[in-house]
Amino acid sequence: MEQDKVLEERIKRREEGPGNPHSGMTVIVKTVTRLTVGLILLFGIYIVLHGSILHGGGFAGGVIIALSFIHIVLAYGKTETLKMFPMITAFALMCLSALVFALLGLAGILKGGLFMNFLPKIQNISILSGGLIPMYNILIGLLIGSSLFAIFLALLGFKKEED
Amino acid sequence: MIELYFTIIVMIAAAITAISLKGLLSSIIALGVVGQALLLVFIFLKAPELAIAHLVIEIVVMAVLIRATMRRDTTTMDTPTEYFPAAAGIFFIGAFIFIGYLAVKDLPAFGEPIMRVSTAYIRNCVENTGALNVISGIVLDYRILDTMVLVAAMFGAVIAVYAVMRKTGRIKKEDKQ
Repeated sequence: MEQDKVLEERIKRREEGPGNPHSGMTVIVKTVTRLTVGLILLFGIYIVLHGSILHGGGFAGGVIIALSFIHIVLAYGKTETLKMFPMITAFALMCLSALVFALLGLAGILKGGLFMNFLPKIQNISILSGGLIPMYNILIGLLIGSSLFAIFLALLGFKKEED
Repeated sequence: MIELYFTIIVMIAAAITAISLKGLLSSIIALGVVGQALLLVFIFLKAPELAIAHLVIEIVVMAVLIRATMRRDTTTMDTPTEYFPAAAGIFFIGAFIFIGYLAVKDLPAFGEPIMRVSTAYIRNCVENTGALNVISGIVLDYRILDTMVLVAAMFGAVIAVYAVMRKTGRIKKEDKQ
């Protein structure tokens, strides 16, 4: 009897309909996710911003930002996450960052050559001393974060056709 | 260098294990071992930036693979072993190793490169670009056109995944009967 009840609850949790309040994982996982996902996102932003001084940069930091969203999807289920963070936002972020990347590169033509690093380089080494490098890091971080999140959502929602 | 060879042997053994196991979840765990061994190889060859990027991407790949396996109906692969494709594969691996050895035999030793462009990059990077991280300075200032191609490829990959994946798969009519 106990095993039947546990099995029934697991089957109820697996069906991810729009109105299923039990979808996703257990309460323990959901509570710990609520506590840690903000820290993971903050860590990703830290690695993106300090890309010109510390190890990491836009690519590794962007993947960490995507990992924080994937954490929410794994704990809460796909429909709950799409209510908080709709897919159109991920696509809009991805397209906007690629567009601004191209525009910044084209704006370098006026000041030297294609993709020229034209902002002045400050003498004291800090985050802002790299010229355009921190801007490129932020754009690449946003792009990779939203791209990996979009790919993860596409690979999860694939079901065989029921007859 | 002995630890490098030991790690490579562990990687090859884990890869062969991943191919020959029957359960899908066990094969994915063996693939995780391959990824961790590659991480150790990066650290032994003194490339920490590559190790950081590889670690986070390995986490995403393992999450995707395990989550995709949890929902499938088939959890084991029960195909019978075929001997002719395995023998042809081993022959071509041997030929590739031999030709690869002939190709890299005359390169300079590890740690003493003779490249002039990268020596100039490493010397002048901090005052020309202002970035303390030499790798960021090269990837985002000296060689930013390669980064632009990488951004375009990532964008194209997302569009390709969404063009191919449907919400429900369709089986062809002649395969159904």
